[in-house]
Amino acid sequence: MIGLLLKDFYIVRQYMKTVLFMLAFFALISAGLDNPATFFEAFIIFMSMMVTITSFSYDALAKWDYYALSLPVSRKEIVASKYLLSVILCFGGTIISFLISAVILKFKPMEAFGVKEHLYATGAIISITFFFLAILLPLIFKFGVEKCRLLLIAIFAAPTAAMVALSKMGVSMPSEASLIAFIKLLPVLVIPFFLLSFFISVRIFSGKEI
Amino acid sequence: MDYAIAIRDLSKSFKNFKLKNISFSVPKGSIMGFIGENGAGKTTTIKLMLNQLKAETGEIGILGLDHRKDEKKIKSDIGVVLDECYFHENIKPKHISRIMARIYKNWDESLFYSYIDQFRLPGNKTTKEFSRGMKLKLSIATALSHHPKLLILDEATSGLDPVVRNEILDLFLEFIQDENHSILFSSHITSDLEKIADYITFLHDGEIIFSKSKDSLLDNYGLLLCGAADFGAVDKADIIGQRESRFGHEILVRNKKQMKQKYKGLTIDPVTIEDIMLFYMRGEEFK
Repeated sequence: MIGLLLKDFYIVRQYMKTVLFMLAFFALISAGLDNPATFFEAFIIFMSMMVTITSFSYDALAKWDYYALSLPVSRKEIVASKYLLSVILCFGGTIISFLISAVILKFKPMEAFGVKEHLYATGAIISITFFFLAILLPLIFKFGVEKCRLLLIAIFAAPTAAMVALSKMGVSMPSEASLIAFIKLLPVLVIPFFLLSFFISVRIFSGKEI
Repeated sequence: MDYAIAIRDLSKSFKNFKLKNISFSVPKGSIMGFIGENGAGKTTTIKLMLNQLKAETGEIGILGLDHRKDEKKIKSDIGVVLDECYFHENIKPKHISRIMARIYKNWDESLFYSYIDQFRLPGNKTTKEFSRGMKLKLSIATALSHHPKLLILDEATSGLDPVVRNEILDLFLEFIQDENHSILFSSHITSDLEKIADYITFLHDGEIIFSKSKDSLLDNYGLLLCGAADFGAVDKADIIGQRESRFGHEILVRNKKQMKQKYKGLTIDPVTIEDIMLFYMRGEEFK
């Protein structure tokens, strides 16, 4: 499985360079925003997720699955390597983005947004990212990455649409205290959900004819 | 006899195609040529062997093990070269070596680089810059560098120029020197197989037409040549396939020696594997 991860690392390396270049660009833009730190952080973590998805695109282009299944790796390991890749990339992205936005906050401090709030925001963003990945990865294993590009937009649009709908219906935004309580609860919800997603993906991929 | 591959009653159906209960085996220490037209089911058979597709019926034994139960053990002892299935475009040979070292327990890095040198491949360029031939050579180098006992080759020489093809055929012959090594070589370049194969399995439209030693095939089959007048006198049961030209009829027949007795005065020419394959396919039109 380490071999598969190494392969993914080699194939996305170039793409990651492009991403880093874009990050520098966005860091400049975000400097002009009211809340540069969290915006920047969300962006980095989102890009980490995109790198995972891109690794699927490269695999599809090279017909990698077909070849991988002639190597001594099980289908479970192939799935596991992708989940592990997404965890590594997202945590890597989170650490980098936390440090960068901490620097941004140092120079452009925000009111009522200290280290504690910063950690909460980061925790919320990464939990949501894993929530999205948990939905997206089984779909990619089932339908292939190209069909999932559209689904990706749908997955992102749905919560936004739900929020808008809720506020239109007069449901008020929750108080800060209950929001923080919810954020604290998030990992407890997301970790089992992510694991469940892994087992579903293994199931899907094991039954798939390549 | 010990078999490297033993396939029994294997079947699989798709919407427009059916692999019909095929059985054949590859004796240890030999090269099996696996021939048939495009779409005959060669790649389907290989995919079934590798568990990429699920068989409806049948058993597949590879290196004496069950292809489902001992999948990982089998796959660490075989080398596979697939048609049109290469590495990612932005990967370099040195990356492949590092990846495979973590996938195969007995990956031999120095052997890999010796093949890279032998094939004159640039070790530090991405495969995007490689020609089709170079990519294929890279695949072959990769397939050989973990000391496999069995090679499964799907169209591994198509798209290569004759010089390189010969170079690679020599490599396969060298590989087979070890009596524990075997090769399943699927190809429609029958001349390559005529050069190196010990046995030929002919798959046509999802069915095995024959699976025999190459020498017995070439001994047994013949091309009966006759004019239009004599053609009427030839027993229809003796005709496997035939071709009509300006100069008369060419008829593929079995039991060359018997036919010589039966049709005295007519010439019987030796055949090539390609003739056998073509005439069998024409035979259908004839019927």
